[in-house]
Amino acid sequence: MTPALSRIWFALVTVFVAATINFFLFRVMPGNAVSALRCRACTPQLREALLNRYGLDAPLPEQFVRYLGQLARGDLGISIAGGRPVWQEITGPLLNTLPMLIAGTLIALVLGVISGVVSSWRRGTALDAASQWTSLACYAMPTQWIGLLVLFYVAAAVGLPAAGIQSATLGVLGDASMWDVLADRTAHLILPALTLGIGSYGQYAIIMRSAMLDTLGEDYILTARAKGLRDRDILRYHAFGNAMLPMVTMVALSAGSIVAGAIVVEDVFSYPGIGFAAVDAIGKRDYPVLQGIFLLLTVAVVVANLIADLIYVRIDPRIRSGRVAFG
Amino acid sequence: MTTSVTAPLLEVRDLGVDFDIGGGQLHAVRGVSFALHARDRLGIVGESGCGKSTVVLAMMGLLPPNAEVSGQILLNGVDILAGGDSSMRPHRWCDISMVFQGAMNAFNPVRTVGDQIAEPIRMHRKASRRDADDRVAELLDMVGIPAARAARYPHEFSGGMRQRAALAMALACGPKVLLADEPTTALDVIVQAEILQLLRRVSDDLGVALVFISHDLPAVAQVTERVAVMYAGRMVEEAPVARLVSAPRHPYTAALLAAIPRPRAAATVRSIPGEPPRLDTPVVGCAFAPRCPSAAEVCRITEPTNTVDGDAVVACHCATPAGLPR
Amino acid sequence: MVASPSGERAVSAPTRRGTARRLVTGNRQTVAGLCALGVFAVVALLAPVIAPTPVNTGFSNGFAAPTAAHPLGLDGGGFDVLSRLVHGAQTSLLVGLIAALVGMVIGGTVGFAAGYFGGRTDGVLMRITDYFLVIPDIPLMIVAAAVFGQSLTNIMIVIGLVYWASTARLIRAQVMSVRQRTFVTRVEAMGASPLFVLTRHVVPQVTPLLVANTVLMVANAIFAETYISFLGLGDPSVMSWGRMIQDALDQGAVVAGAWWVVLPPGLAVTLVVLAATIAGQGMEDTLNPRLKVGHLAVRRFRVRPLHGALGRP
Repeated sequence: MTPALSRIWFALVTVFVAATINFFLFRVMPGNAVSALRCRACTPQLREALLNRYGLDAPLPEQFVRYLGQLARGDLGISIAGGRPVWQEITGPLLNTLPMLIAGTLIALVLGVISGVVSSWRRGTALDAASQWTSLACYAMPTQWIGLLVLFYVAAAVGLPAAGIQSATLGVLGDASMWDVLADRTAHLILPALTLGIGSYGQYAIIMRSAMLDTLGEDYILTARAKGLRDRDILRYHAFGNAMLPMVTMVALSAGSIVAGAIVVEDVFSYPGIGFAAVDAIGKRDYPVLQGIFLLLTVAVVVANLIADLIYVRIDPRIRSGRVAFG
Repeated sequence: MTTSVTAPLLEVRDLGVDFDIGGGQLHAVRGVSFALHARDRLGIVGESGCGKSTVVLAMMGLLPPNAEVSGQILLNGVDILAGGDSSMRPHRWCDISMVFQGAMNAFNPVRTVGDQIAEPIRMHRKASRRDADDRVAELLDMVGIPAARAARYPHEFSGGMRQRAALAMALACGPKVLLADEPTTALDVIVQAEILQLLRRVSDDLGVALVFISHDLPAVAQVTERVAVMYAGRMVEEAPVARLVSAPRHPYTAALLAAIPRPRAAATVRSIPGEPPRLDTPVVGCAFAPRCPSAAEVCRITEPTNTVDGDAVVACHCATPAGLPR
Repeated sequence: MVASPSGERAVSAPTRRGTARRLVTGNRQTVAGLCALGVFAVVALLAPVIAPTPVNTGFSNGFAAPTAAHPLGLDGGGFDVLSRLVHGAQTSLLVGLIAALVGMVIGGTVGFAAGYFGGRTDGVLMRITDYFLVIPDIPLMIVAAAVFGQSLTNIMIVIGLVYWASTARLIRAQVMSVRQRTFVTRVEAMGASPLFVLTRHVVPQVTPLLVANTVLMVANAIFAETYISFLGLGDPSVMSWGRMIQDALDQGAVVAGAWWVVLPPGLAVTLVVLAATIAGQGMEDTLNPRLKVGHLAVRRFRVRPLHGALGRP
């Protein structure tokens, strides 16, 4: 099995393991999904009927098989609270989250890279210390708290919307063009993305600094200096490229924490994305939706890891060509 | 200042390098002086830690921040050391270049070899990509590497080829002085011989002045015309190679020669007893005195000065014109 | 290549007692971090005593700015913020410690077994570890907490059960490296029993790293607890900093401009996590100093000016 195939296989198995954990978590808990459901209008008869409808009274192995079969067909079950298929519940929010998530990750990457490069280049100076402390502090701050601080101090000052995804006034006094909608949506995602970026950049800064320091101690950097290159050219053409390799891996590894950050950020900013839907489902104890979201997030993270693995193999020439030296 | 045709290309005067280590200073190089003319080939030999690599790093201005340099490095009469790192930068690679010890790692693993050889050409000469590539092909040809290899990555080259590529890179901007720091260490004997031959040819054909650093005296003797021997940061003897080998004046040189294993010799290898001195304390008297078989009382008290003897220079109280008794 | 002479002393082989002392005191960072943690621990332990008021006593109908009687003011429910903060310390630190210990025990055991026995045991255990490493940790905790949560004990176990994987990997690597060292193979060749090798050689070499890693995990666990409580999955009968942040949001502290409700809990979490992270990193540095020479430095080598008389042009 080629390396690429074995990684894909690993990814698939991981998703399977996650799905299995998912399944058993909800079958092992005290009571069951229906009894835990929080809805005011639920009578015992209704719960009974729901139990029956969702097949939660069938024997465990049978449930598991049915569950796997459903998953294979892409069926994530039905929301107990809402009655609609889980897929329908989460597609919309998922599309809302994606741009915010990507923007947030990019912000975190840019901040992290700059911080790491500056730190390593000016190693041992006050700038290095300040940069390290700042990134450490931001890493230690709970992302939801950063969101609160942003709401408190930044939102009003900058005049950016701090809740939701679309202005309530849009389209009310006449048709809103696509550009208007786009601009409005972008304005709404800036603060959440910024919060996510600030909360997540710390780990990138640490890795970047470490990778740069490793690189700057290598012989070819001394060679570059001997060739008469200026510091900034050395950083750009020699150090940076090598230091970015571990960053690729880092982005993959951090996917899980970025996703976690996104959940709380959406809660703070009432941003109707997948995190917000998760919080909502938690509140209602709507387990099928929660399960569906968790599975989706796991798949996303697994895919991110897989892509990072495959990219790394392609961009590192030592691994890519792999030919034995001759001559 | 003489402007005659024998004015040296590069002159090192009284070079001293001290390293600031936590709680003291390491006196790595003391009072080293020599001169190079075009096409000169000078070897610098000595055991590990004698300061020979430090000398060439100082010549390129590549010492670490905890180094303090004294003395002068005159390139065409101008002291390039006086202004520190920034005054040396313009001279790097175009006037003086270097092949490093362990050229295995001198290349950036994620860029092609051709790219890296072209880099100084494009930077210093502002050459276009095509012109630079042409020059790269020319250089690779000179060192015996097929031009097509320029597009390959360093890990695809064998050790010997990488060393040759490093040499090609060092010659990229047409330097007047080439410093080769242990270029043949860690290579097998056959490849070593090829590299040595290459160095000789390059110096002859291109008129480059060569400084060859090594602990391997026989290798140095094959390539160079003059050899300087360093011990504990000082040059203890400098002479034309034939004379150094046949009639060494300094006891250390004699000991080095005696320590070279000969294939048919019946005698066991004669090593030099004792150890080189620690460089963090100032030296009293001659640094070699503790290990010297002919040490006299004066050797432990006064440091010997450089005595010029014809075309050689020695720093020893006991040196005689006819060479030391064996 | 030529290495520049520098002033590092040779690292001598550590004695057992010496290692413990070195681990704790050997690094300024570690000392600072541990002291800070100590302060928080003391506050947490003495919470019932030093909190100015009982936690659940309301003093007004809503926000009130800080006064002498209530140094951190009152939150939206009329409760004294300082008291809640101090009681919250108990929860956060307790969860952090226990969860980290749970993770350490599981991760350490798995790592030891995998590293020591190698072969198929290693293969199986590492596969499982890899799955747990990839599956996003906090979402998994959220799901598990949603199912089992609402009790402090369960939260601690859930966090530990999710975070053990990276410890396992680390310990396994260290165990394997120790086993392959010459003195161990020599001792084994002399007929020492596996237990002897384990207790006399492997454990002393691996334990310091385990301790350093656990300290770092305390930081992660406190962080995770904040998330879980913030989302309402924590134990409703105890105060916690995460819950205070949630309250700040829910009660409209931002709109009301009540900074005394917004700032303290997050600040507290940040400081504790910082302290634990610094301490843990300091410990790791002590065990594994990274002495790297860098070729680009701000300062360059110094040139000593000529003293007078050599004045040739």
